[in-house]
Amino acid sequence: MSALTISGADRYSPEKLPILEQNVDEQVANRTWNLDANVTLLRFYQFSPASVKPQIIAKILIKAIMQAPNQDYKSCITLLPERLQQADEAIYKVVQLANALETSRFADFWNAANTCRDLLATIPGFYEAVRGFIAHTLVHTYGRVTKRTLADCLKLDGATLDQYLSDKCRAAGWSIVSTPAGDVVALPKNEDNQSVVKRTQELIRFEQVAPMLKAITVGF
Amino acid sequence: MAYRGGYDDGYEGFFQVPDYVKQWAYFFYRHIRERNIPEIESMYEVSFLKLSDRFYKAAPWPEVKYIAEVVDQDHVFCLLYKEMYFRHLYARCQPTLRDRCDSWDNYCDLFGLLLTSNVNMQLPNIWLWDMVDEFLYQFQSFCQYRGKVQSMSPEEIENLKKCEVKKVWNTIEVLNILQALVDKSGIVAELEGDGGARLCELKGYYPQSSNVLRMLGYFSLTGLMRVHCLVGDYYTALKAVYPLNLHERTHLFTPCILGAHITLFYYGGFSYLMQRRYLDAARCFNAVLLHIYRVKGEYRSSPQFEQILKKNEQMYQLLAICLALCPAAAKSLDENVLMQLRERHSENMAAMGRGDIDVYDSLFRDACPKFVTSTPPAYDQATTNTNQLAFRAQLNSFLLEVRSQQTLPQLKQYLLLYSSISLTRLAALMDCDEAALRQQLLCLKNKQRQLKWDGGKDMTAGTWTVASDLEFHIDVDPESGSEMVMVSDTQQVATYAPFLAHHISRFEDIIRDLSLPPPVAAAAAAPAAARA
Repeated sequence: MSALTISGADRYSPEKLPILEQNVDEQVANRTWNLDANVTLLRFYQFSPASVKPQIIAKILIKAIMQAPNQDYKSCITLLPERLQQADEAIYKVVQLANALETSRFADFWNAANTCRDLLATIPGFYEAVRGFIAHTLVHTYGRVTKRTLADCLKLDGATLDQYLSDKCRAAGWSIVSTPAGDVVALPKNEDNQSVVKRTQELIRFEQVAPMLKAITVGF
Repeated sequence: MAYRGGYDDGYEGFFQVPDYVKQWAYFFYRHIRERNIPEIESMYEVSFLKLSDRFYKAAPWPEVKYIAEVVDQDHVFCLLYKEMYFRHLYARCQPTLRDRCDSWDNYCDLFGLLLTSNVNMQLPNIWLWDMVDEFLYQFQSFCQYRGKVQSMSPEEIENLKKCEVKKVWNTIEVLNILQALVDKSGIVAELEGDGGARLCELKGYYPQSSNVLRMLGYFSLTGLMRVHCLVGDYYTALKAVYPLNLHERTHLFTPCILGAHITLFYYGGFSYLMQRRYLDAARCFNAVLLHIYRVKGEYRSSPQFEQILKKNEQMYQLLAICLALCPAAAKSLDENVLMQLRERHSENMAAMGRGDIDVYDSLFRDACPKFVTSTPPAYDQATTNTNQLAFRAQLNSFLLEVRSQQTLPQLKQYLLLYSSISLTRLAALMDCDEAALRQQLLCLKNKQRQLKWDGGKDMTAGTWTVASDLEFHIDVDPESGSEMVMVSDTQQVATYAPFLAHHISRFEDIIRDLSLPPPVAAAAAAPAAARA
């Protein structure tokens, strides 16, 4: 499992095509991600449409979604011609998934994910990565969140939800608070989900004052 | 016009070439042989244009075979002359397919020669930059041309198919040429070594060696970035220009050649913008717009002035888009740039703030690069023009991003009014249901976080920062279980110190100028006093 590095003239030699395609499968199997190699592959596909393999593109896009919140998906999608995005069914569905995730429409996302369950099952680690991103967004937005909202966003219910919550409570500092209105999950405190009164203080640096000192001290 | 018919009798054609042109060619050749850089530059920039305006306003220059006698049939000079010949042709006349293919062959020959043999000449840097710039401009022009299938005759299509087989203006070939120039010139190692200090000091004209390959390598880095942007590959565009760095600009050579500087920052800023890194994009545009603002006066009489103004305008449009999508970026802008921006685009920015997609659309259309459809159309089946495909793909990608943020400005307006508000009440105000509101709040939080470059040579790296002046979070009231949106109170203390310091120093300068004795009046007063 050697990391494939692409630089310089490697980027433009079409002989690398089979190596890059193989590398994608390796990334899927080993749960790694190599943006340089994947972008190079997509570029080759753009330059020679005859050699396009849609299922590999779908795999790359799904792996890119898993890198959220990094904008790697964006870097990949701008390389695909629109015709390809609409013609191939798998790619079209993945694009819908990515759009839903980007705009935080989690309900739409889970509905769409349901329709292509078989495709997503071929990529190990997809659901964990996506749930990780959703949790990340929630942690930065909510100080405390109702269990119902959490369940809807993560699409977990009942026993699996409780299992997930207890894992997070142990590992990531979440905690469950019982309130009269139902269970509420308190998320770890960070700078985004706290009320912080920020006073930006003005600091006057010496360099700003130095030119004036000469004028001020004239006459002394 | 007169010379396009092609004279079969070379002798007669030679007589038709005006004397001035023959002299120009002769002296130009001599200066190149003698490595007389200032003279070469003057003949290249000034004399060539004067002769073009006088004799060849709308026609191409004489073909190279008519000039060859004057210059001892020198092979290298003929290639250089043909480069200028085609550049003039593209600018003033309409190139045919034959011209485009010939120009491609000439570039291959010229770059091939420079890469393989050891040329010992020195050429002005501006010419070397123009070579790379024109090479890519003709590439873009060809891709536009071959996509217009609807207006082509069958013979043209046949010829185009033949060109395709010979890989004329093939995208991968273009990229390989640029990469070969970068590799052979060793520019990456040199810049890594001392950060470009020696290059800046000697302006590329190293005493004992030729500057041609080195500077072509330097400019090809920008060329690579440009081609990657044109095909939609923004990540590699930023990686390809390594080891140049748009944020650490101490030994950047490009400010000496305004065209190169503008191109570098325009494509760099655009790449950041398409990757949703608005803070970095705004910084890039700010740097170059400030530079143009300062040096604009020197270029007023230059033939590239119009181009400079056009790019200036485009970058202001892109900056307006950046600020509309990320208002916090305004903090890093210089006051001059901000002032200019407000003058040109205040209504546009207000409209974009309201979520008007058409304004985004029209600004993007004007300001974006001329994207390249990197593959030729399928000539047999194509019935519609394909030259706009790439552009539409990038436009749609951009508008998708804009649409995902369309309702957010309104949400922000409401949040600014409150320090805390319950979710149900906010949903009623915004006229949507609670689930949709929750989704929008999550979206707003997500969009506020961006990657920002914070050091190191790799321009694609960065840390996650919150780019917003509005801090909020959602909390659940433990007793009642209702969800509240809490908006943080950020008190901005107005910073007066830089403003006052700036104006104090300017005032001091004015006073100093006023108290200088007037030189001419003193000299006149002295003899007047002596006479009196």
